Amino acid sequence: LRKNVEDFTGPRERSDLGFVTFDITADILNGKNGLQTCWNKNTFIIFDWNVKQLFLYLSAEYSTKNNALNQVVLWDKIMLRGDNPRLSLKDMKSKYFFFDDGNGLKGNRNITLTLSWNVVPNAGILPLVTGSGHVSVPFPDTYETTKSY
Amino acid sequence: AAAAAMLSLDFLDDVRRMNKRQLYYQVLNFGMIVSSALMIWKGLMVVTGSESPIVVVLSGSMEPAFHRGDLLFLTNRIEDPIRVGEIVVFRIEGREIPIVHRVLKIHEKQNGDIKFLTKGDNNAVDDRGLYKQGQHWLEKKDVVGRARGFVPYIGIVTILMNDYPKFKYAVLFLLGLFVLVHRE
Repeated sequence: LRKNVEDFTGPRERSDLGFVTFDITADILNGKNGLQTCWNKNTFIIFDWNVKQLFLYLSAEYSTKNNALNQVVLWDKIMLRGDNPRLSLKDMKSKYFFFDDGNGLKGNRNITLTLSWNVVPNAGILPLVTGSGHVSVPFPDTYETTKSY
Repeated sequence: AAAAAMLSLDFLDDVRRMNKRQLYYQVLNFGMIVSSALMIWKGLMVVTGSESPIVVVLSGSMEPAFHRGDLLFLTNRIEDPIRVGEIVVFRIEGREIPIVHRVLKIHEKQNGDIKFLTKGDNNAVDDRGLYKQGQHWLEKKDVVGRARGFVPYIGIVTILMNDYPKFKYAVLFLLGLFVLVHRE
């Protein structure tokens, strides 16, 4: 689960540029020898013997007049097996510019931020998993023109 | 050394002893093996929907997930929508070499038309610099397939055969020799 704070939008050329700062706290369960099982239906082993790494990414999904579906990756991280599986990042700025294809960010009330990850095995299938819990963020109706980033 | 000389003579004797019919039989056998391999490959193309269902990773731009020489299994089904985070293999118009990178951004219209941007995990910037002059986005038609599974290291043989053509000829020659001479 995470919470985050939306900032403002600014026009660049002709497209909206959005700025979002966010916090991420995530707990990705690390099985020590892959043999433990959790009977709590909300937790499960992600890092087992065949998992080399997880590619985590925070994506923003929204709809605009121009495009029915837009998805933009704001931030990503590679988590190798053995890395600390608990994420606690505060006040993060997006790693990539959040440009819209057009001006669909201004006044857009429903930008959904989701944390997902790609499981990279030592050998085998490459699944994409979406974390439970997502946050909706609205953008304001006006542009900010002078704030530095 | 004497023993080795004897063995090679026996080997040549075997070949001479084969009469014409047996030789034709071996050639047909060889043809069947090649046809079966081709059929399996075509079958894979149909099942996965991709013109190139198995590709070898050629660069280090997706490390540490994939390294040069890893083998990727692709599907390219139209029903599977392109979404961020997926690993796609695409070709840039006019270039032969397929690139394996991750989808960073998508903009999809109501009717399903989609344009998307990619980036290699190990690269600092997105792929816009790699696209054709004036091209800012990739489209469905540029996609060879989506990576669904992978096996490490095995593709190194293909890279070796590409980089060292003598190695490729040696491998093909030995294979051909083996199949022709082997009696089964």
